[in-house]
Amino acid sequence: MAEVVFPFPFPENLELILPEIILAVMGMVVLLMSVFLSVSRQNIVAGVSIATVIAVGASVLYVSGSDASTTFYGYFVLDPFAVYAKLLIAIATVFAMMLSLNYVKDEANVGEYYTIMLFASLGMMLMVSATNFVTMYLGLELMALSVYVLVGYQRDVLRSTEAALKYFILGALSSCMLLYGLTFLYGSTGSFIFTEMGDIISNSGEDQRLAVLTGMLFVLAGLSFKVSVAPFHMWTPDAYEGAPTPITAFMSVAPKVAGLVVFMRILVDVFPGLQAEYTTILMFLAVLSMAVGNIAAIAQRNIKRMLAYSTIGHIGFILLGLIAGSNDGYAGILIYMTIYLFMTMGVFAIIIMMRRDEIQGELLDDFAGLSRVRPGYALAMGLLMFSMAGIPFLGGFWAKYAVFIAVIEADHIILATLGVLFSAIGAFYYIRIVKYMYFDEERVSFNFAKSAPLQVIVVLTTLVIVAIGIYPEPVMAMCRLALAGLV
Amino acid sequence: MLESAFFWLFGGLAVAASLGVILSRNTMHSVMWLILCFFNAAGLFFLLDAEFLGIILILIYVGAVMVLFMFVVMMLEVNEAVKREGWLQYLPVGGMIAVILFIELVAASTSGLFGSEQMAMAAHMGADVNNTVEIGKELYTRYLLGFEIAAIILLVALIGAIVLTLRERKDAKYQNISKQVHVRKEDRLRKVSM
Amino acid sequence: MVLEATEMTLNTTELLAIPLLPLLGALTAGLFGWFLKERLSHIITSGSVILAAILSVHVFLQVLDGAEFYGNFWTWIASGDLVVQIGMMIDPLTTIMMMTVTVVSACVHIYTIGYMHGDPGYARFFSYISAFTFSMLVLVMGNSFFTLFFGWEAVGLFSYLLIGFWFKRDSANKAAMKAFIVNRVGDFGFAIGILAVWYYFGTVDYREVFAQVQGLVASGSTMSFLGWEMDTITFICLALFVGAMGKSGQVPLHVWLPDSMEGPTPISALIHAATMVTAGVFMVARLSPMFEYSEVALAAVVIVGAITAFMCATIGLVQNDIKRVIAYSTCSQLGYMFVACGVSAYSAGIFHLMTHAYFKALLFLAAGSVIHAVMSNQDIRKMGQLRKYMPITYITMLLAGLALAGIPPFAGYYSKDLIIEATYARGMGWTSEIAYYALMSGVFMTAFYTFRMFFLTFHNSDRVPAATKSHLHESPWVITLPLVILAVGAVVAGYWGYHYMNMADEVIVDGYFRNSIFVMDAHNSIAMLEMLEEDHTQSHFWLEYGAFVLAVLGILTATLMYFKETKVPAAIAKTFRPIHTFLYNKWYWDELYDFLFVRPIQKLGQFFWQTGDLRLIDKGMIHGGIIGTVKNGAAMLKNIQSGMVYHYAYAMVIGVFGLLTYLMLNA
Repeated sequence: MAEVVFPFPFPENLELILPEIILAVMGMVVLLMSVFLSVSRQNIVAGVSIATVIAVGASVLYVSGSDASTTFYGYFVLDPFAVYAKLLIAIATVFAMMLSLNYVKDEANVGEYYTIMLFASLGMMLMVSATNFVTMYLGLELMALSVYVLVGYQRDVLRSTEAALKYFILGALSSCMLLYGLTFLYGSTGSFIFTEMGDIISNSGEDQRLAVLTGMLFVLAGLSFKVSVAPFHMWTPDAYEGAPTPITAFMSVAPKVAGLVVFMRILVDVFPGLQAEYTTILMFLAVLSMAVGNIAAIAQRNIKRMLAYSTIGHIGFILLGLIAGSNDGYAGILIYMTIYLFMTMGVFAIIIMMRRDEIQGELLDDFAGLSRVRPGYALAMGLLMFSMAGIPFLGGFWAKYAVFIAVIEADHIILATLGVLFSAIGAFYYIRIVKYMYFDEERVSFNFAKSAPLQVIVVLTTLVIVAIGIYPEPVMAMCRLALAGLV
Repeated sequence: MLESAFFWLFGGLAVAASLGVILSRNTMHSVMWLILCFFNAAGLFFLLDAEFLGIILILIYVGAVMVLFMFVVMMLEVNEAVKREGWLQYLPVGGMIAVILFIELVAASTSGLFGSEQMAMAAHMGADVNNTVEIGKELYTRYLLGFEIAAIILLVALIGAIVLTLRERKDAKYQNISKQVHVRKEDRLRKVSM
Repeated sequence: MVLEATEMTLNTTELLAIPLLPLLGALTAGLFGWFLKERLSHIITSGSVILAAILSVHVFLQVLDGAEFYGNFWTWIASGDLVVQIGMMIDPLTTIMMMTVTVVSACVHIYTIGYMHGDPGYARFFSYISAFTFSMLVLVMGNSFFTLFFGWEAVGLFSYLLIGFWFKRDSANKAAMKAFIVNRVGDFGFAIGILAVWYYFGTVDYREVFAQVQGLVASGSTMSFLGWEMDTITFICLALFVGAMGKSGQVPLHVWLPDSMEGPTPISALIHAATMVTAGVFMVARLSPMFEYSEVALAAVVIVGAITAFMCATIGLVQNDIKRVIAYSTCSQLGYMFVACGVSAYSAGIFHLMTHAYFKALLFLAAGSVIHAVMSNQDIRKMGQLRKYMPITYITMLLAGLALAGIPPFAGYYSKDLIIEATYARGMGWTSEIAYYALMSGVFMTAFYTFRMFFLTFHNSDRVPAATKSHLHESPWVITLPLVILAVGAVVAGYWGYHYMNMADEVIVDGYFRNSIFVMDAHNSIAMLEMLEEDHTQSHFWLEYGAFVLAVLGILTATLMYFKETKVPAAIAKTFRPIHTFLYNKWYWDELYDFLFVRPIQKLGQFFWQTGDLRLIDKGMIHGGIIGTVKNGAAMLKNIQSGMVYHYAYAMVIGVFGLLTYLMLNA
């Protein structure tokens, strides 16, 4: 037998992947810890998990100082763009874990819960660092599989199981679409690496156009599912409602960040030659998402379902940034995601706090009269809602401002007009909650969960939203800086 | 020529089997159709000189995964799928979409590089090319990262499956060793003044 | 005109501390007032403002030595073409304002401790006045139209909140709303002016704008506004001046200022006499490099100022509410300042602004002290002989009155005289001539109404109702101390400013203001005045002493009529009943506005509400049109969201199908 010759030497610059290694290793450590710790001491597991993610955030910053930016033969990249996205993911994960502290205390298998959350964020971090479809797809599946499990974590709650099953089946369908699209792209280019594919596609002739376009469409459809773009959004309300609330918070932020980052990378690297075509597709998706998200939210009585539609609407606004296709547009997306992260986490913290003994404060009616019982939380909720609606001068205003300006500068005036119109419709259901809190009589007695982590999140997120609202420049500058890796 | 004939045979059977999977009412039959489909896919791999992949497909999918499927189906005792009601109302639109989509996809997959005139049969490798080694070389170097991620995906699948399904029976008697060790006299003994 | 960068710069931390300290105090008292209680609330807010005052004086001294500062601290937002930076411009003009604002504010803070004691909104009040101080400092210290606008709107907001401070009082709410709405009219012009600046200069930074003014004027740029063709610079200046008219209570936007007296007296002193209302004057002086290039705008400033100075003085003659008399006097004095700016004697205007701040704040605070003593009665017909009970208030008010009347050597004499003489010397044709006579007659009336009010309060016969009598006493030291401090200012500020600070040097650059005010040589009225006085071929008696003589005459008249109880006032009122009624009803401005705007707008509002809103929108559109569609759409989407997995998958497939078909057809 011939001597085995390896085509590649041992990969260099492995330190770049340190955050992911920490996540993977600690995921397993946490799993084992939970086995050895007695039931009453499972909160140690939560503490270790949170500390792990914080350490991961720190290590991302640490390795971002490295001279090199790629490892694993260029299959893994850590550019400023990925660094920023990873930080957002880490923050979202920490928040979601803090939200979970009280929530899953009474559930069985606490250790596995945090393990799977760690693996989910591992999947997302790999996604945002992917430079090729193999890493991207595997990261995506790791994230998706973890989230399926988390959604169905309350296995004795019917709607949780149902939500998980629906999400799983439709997720499988979306993965199929993604893979099907990939076969077209691979067949046309013979490569899985984003930039190589991009070069080939840009230089390819008319005869390949049909196959490439079909492949692109299916890939975009598969990704759209993950970020809840209409018409691939149908799972969102059911999954949001059924999932444990901290997981709802988690999945409404972190996978969206990861998915949008991949979206941006693919559009910029793989399909620069098809900008006209994908812009048209995105326009359709954006308008549909804005319409569905903002209109359907009005009919909801359950706040988690309402927020699911709100997410769809927000994603519609974010797609405007992709449509603009300019640096301002991409920066707008990052700004939007950053602000959206804090708004969403704050809102969910308040929702979780309203969980009473058996009932969960999930219905809009439960907020009636909140201002008289808990003026502080009502104020925070009010500010967050106004911010979501995009009222100046709160964070949400600048988020919308950034993408609208970008899309106007790209000469899509009609889109911007539609965006403003839909955000006006959206303002209705956000501000309705304020109306419930401030103008309606209390209907059910409140029994707020007293939890320091939740209070910290509420105060912190509200302050961040107000601070960004008053002085947005630092965040905007940061986002512009983060784009250095992309374009 | 012979290769061509086998290609059409395997390909045709794979498509037919796939149709069988989705069309048969009986779940058991569907699984059987799926096994047939996998066999034919393996045959296609063999035609491409990818005997390792072909064997793996049979061993793992047919040998392990499908057998598991069968067990599950048998345990769940769903023999007849529930009669689909009202499917007629979806037929016109659905059928139209299906037909048009099919035509479009055929158009896409016969265009450009995919056209049969451009898809010449790949040259056969010599007998000394060991395709297990070649796969290993790629998998453990270039695709090392993907390989590791795949491992973690499997781990998550494992944990997830256990977390979602494992139940400790309420009526079973377990020893709680930690509790036994930590027990104190006061917990068990009570002085009763007589 | 570019201000040269100077070698000596100021400590930025100190500069930042000056506005931020009051803000900090305001936030602390505002957010934690319920916890801090009265004592800690006023210690924190007053302490921070006093500290800010000390720092301002320190900065003032450094600037006197030639230090200046210009720079940006933050980029607030940078998005595309729009870059908004936050920075400061510290020069002699700024520092004199800073010092005036912080010192008067500190006095008012201390005074408030006594005045508002026991009020349920004690901490809130302190929070507001500290926040107001912050806003005013931002207004004067900023280096761009953006900060100017921010401060402008913020002081308006706090003025509104403070006028309506006793929100349970209907009249206070109405006055607050009136102030806000009238100011909105002004601010509309102001905003247009700023937008025009941004449009034509592409920046809102003072220095960059000033540097381009000459180029714009030289280019002969004109624009059409409502079909009226005019120079761009004239348009900008006029629009900005509309804002100044609103904020500084100039005719015809003066109607809110007297009503604002519904607010607590410390507010009248701080906001509606010493600081906020002078923002308009400050703005014109700050923007002198722009106004100087527009003869039309300058003439408009002179005319508006002169009319206000005269008209409000006449109204002041017959008012019976002690605070209203002073309020009309404030309007009138602001008119003097605008005339000064209009005749390009900006330095005189700012000089008068400073002296006026001291003696007018003092007048208000003393009036407040009186009101406090007579149990919230403001009608001077129910006072008299109060000097026996409140000697300190009496003396300080006398000093303030003399300063206001313009009797040497008190503060008002120097600044007011200078304005009048400069107006005479400027020679703008009929505008400055009318202004001169308006101001001269104003001097007589000022002296008269000041001492009418003074005598009716402290001398004359004792008309205090018996029930109040037992309550009469001198106010506590926290009230009298600020009076004494301000009295010192009212006495010496004029002499000090004129002789030591050299505020009225005929060559501005050599005087106190250095480069911070720009005057064209052809407009330099103070230099013209100097030349006129050196011309010994004709007598200058009337020019130099006319105002003084008129002031003395005014005081003498007041003495004759009001020092002792006489029948003269009633007889005069009877003889000239139409005039008296006309003046007493404030020239019927309120009635005019009521007829012209308020009622038609109310009717229009009624129409929009009943027909437009209720019938058309609520009934027609909400329950049928737009909202109905949205709600139907929402319901429809809710139906689509059936909960069935295959429906969801179907939606996805349809989505892909539609897009693919679209792509295929277009490829």
